[in-house]
Amino acid sequence: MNKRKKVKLSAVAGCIITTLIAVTVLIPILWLFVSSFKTDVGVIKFPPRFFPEEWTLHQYLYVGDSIPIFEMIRNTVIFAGGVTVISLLFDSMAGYAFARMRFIGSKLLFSIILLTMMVPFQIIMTPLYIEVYKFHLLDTYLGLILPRATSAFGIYMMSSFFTGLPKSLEESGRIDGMSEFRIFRSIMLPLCKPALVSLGIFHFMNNWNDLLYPLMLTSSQNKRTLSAGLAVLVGNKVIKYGPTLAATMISLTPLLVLYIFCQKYFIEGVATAGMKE
Amino acid sequence: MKKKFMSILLGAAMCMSLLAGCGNGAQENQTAASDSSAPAQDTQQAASDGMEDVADTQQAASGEKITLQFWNVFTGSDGDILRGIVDNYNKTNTDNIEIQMDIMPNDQLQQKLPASIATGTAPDFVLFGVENLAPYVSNDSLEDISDFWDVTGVDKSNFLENVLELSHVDGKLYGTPMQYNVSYLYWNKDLFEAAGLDPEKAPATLDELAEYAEKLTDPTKNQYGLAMPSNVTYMQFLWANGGDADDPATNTNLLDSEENIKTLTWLQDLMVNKKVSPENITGPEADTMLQAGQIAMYMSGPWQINGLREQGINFGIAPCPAGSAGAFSPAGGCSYVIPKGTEESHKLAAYKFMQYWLTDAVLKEWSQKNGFPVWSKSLMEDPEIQGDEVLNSISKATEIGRSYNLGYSLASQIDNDVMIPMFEKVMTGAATPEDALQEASDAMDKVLAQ
Amino acid sequence: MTERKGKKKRFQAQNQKSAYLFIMPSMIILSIFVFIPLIASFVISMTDMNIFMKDVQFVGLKNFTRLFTDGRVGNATFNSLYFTLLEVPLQIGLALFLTVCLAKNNRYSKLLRSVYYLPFVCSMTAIGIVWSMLLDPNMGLVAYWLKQTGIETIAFLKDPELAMPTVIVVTAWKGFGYTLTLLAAAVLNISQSLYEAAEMDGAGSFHKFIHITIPGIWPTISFCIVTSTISAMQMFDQAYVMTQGGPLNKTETVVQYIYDRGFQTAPYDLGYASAISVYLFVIVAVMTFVLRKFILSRGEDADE
Repeated sequence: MNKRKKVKLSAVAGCIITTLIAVTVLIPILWLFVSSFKTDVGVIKFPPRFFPEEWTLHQYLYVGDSIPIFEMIRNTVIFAGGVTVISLLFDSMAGYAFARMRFIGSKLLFSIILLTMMVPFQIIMTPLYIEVYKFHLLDTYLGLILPRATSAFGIYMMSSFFTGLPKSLEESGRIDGMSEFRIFRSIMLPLCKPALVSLGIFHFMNNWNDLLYPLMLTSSQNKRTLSAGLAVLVGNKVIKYGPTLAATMISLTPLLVLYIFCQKYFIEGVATAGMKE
Repeated sequence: MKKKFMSILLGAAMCMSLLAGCGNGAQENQTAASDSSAPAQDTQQAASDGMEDVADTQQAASGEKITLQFWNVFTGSDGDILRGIVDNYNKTNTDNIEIQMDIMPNDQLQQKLPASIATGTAPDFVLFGVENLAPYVSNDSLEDISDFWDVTGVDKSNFLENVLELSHVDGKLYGTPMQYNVSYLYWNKDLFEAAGLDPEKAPATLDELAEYAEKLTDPTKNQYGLAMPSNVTYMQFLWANGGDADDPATNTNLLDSEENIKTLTWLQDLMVNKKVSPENITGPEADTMLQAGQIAMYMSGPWQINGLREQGINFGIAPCPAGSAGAFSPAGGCSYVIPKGTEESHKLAAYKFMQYWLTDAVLKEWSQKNGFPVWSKSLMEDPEIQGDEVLNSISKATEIGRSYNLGYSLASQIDNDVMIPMFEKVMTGAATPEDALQEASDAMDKVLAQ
Repeated sequence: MTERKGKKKRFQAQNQKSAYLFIMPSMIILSIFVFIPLIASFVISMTDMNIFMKDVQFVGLKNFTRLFTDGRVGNATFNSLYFTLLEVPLQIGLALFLTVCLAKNNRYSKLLRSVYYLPFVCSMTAIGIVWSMLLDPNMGLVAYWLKQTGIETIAFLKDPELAMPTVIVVTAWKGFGYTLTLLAAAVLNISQSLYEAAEMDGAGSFHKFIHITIPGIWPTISFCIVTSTISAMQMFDQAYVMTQGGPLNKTETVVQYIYDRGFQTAPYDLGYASAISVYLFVIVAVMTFVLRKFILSRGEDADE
C-alpha cells in the first residue's frame, strides 16, 4: 500500500518536472515565433512585451525583398539533401563493417576515424578550400556535397547502433548463403531505420544550418544556401532585429515541418525495433 | 594498412607541394593561377548552365560584355541602397559592363578573400573597411592603383585630402574612397529636456559629458546617460587630454603617460562609480537601447541615423567633446580595392565603376540616403546638401577626424591585444587605471617588437 | 575438424575483403577531405604562414614554444575544460533523468520527447540570438520579469562570473533533447522480459534502473559521452554569437582563440593558429582515449 503511494507520488512529481521543462523549452521558441510578427518599434520596445501589440508581416516581406529566398531554399535542399542521402549510405556501410566484421586494422582505422572528429573545422578550412579549388569544384553542388559525403560522427553512431543488434541476425543470412552486401541491405539496414532517421535528421539539420562551410565553397550568390544568405540580413554595424527574427523563422520552419513529419517514422521505427527482440 | 599509409603519405606530399606552390614566386604563380582559373570558371558555368538556361546563353551571345564579380561587406540596410546604385549602373552604363554583387558578413569575407586571392579565384573588385588595407598590402595581395586618376581623368583635387589619405599605404593608392566617417556624439533631445537640460545643447567638454551623463542616468527607469560598449577603443578620450597609444611612423609606444592615467581614471570613475552606462554591452545592444530611447548619449558613426529616424527618436548630432588638448574623433571609411591577379580589362572596367561612384550624383544619393558626410568639394557647394540639416551637423562633427594607425600593419593586433583589453579592464573595474595601463604598455612593447 | 577450420578461414578472408569494400567510400572521402587538410595544418603549424600564403618560411617548433608562454592559450584551455566538464554531465544527466520519466510509448511521453527535440533543430545562431535578446539585463524579457517579481537584476551573459554558466545552460538546453531521443530509443530496445524477471525477484524501480536500464543502454550512453565531450571541447558557435569570448575573455575557448589568431587579428597568423589547434587536437585525443578506455571497460563488465 505504502509502496504504491510512493510510486504514484514520484510519477506525479515526474509529470510536473517534465512539463515544466517542456515549458522552458517552448517559451523561447514561441517568443521567437510571435516576435517575428512585431513591428520594428515593437521588437526593441521597453518595457518588453511577449506578444506583439500590432501584428505585421512587414519583417517577412522585407526578407523576401532583400534576398532570393526560393533560389536559396532550392540550393539548400540540394546541398543538405544530397549530403544526407549519400552520407547515410556511406556511414551505415562503414559503421556496419566496424561493428560486425572482423578485419585487420579495424581498431586502428576506427581510432583514426574518431580522430577526425576532433579537428575543428576552422583549421582545415583553408587547406580544404585549396583542395576543392584544385579539383575545379569550387562553386558547384558536387564540391559542396563531396567533402561532407561521410562523417566520423555518422560512422561512430551507426557502428554503436549495429553493435547493439543481436548477432543471430546476420548468421541466419550467412547460413542462407547471402552475400555480405545482401545481408547488409536486406537484413541489417531495415532494422536500423530509427537510427538512420535520427542520423538523417542530424545530417540534414547540421548542413541546413551551416553557415561558414557553404559560404567558403561557393563564390556566387546563386549557389548560396539559406543560412548563408540570411546572414547577410543581420547587418555589419547595426543589427536589424526584426528581419533577423523573421529570417530565423524562415530557416527554421522547413526543419520543423520535416521533424514533425519524420517524428512518426522515428517512434514507429523505435517501437518495431524493440519488438523484434 | 600499407595502402592506407601510402595514401596518407601521398596526401601529405601533395599538400606540401600545394603549399609550396602558393609560397614560392608569388608573382609567377599568381598569373598562372589566374590563367588556369579562367577555363575552370567556364566549365563551372557550363555545369550550371542546365540550371540557369536563358540568362547564360544570352551572355554568351554578346561576346564583349564584361562581367565583374564584386564582393562587399554591406549587410543590412545600407546594402539595399548600394544594391540599388549598382543595379542602376548595370542598366545605364554604356560600356557593356555588368556587376554581379555578392554581400557577405565581414568576418566571412576576411576568411575567404585571402584564400581566393592565393588561388586566383578572387573577385574583380572588393569593397571593405580601410582598416583592412594594410595587411593585404603588406602581403602583396592588392593591385597598386596609383594610376587611377590619370587613366580615368577624375579630378583628384576635388576630394578632401584626409579622405584620400585613408586609401593610401606607403604613399601608393590601393583603393578609391567610397565613404568616410568619424564618431559623433548622438544625443536624445527628449531625455535632455526631461532631465532639465537644454535639449539643443550637447556637452562640449569631457567634464560636461560626465556631468550630463550622471544627470541623465536613472536606474529606476532603466535609463542611462552615456552608452559605452566594450570591445571598442576610445581613442577620442585619450587624444582629448593629449595622450596617445603609439606612433606607427617610428614604432614607438606612447601609452605610458600621465595624460593617459588621467583619462583612464576619469573613465573608470564614470563607468564604475557613476554607472552611467549599462555594463559590458555590445555595440548592437547599445544601438538598440538608443533606438528604444533608453540611452541619452552615445558615440557612434553615421550608420545610426537611419535607425533613429525609423524609430522616431528626436536626436541631435554633435562633435565628440573636447578635453584639455582639444577635440578629436577616430576616422574610418570604406574603399573599393582590386585584388592582385585581376586581369587588365576587368581592372579597367572596375575603374569605370569607381569613376561612376565618384560622380557628384552618386555621392549625393549615398550621403542623403545614409547620412554619411560629404567629402567632394564640388558637392559641398550643392544647395540641397547645404540645406540638409543632418548633413550640416555631420560635416561639422567630421572636421575633428583623426586617423588612428591606418595603413599600419600592426593596427588590428594593437586594437585586439592591447587597447580593447585595457579599456575593458578599466571600464569594468577589473584593474586600477595604473595597473591596466602598465599591463597594456607591456603588451604594446611585445606587439611592436615584432 | 580441419575442414571446418579451413572453411572458416576462407569465410574470414572473404569477410575481410568485403569489410574493406564497405569502408572504402568513407575512407576515401575522409582521407581526401579531412586527413590531408589535417596533415596540411600540422605542416602549417611549423611555418610562419599567414592566410595570404606568401613567402612561407619553416620555423620549426617556434609556434609551439610561443604557445606555452601565451597566457590567453592557458585561459582558453581553462575555459574549454570548464565548459566541457560542466556541460557534458549536465546535458547527459538531464537527458538520463528524463529518459527514466519518459521512456514509454504513451502519447504524453511521445509528445514531450518531440518538444524537447525542438531546440536541437534550431541553428546555434538562432538560439544564440534568441537567448541573448531574452537574457539581456537591460532590454530582455527575462530580466524584466525578474525585476517585476522583485528579484535583483541578474546580468547573465554580461557578468564575468555568470557568463560561462549561462552559455553552458543554453548549450545543454539546446542539446539534451537529442541525447534524450537516443537514450529513449535504446531504453525501448531493452527486452521487456528482463524487467519482468527482475520484478519477479522483487526488485524496486531504482534497482531495475541501475542493474537493467543502465547496462542495457551503456553503449548509447558512452557514445553520447564521447561525442558530446569532443564537440564541447570544440565549442565555438555559442560564444561567438552570445558573448564573443567576453566579458574579460571569460568565455573565450580554444577554438575561438584559434579563430581570432588565424582569421580576425592581422597578421592572420595561420601558423600559430595551426599550432594551437594541434595542441587542442592532442588534448582532445588524450581525453577521448581515456574516456573510451574507461567506458569500454565498463561496457565489457556490463556485457557479462
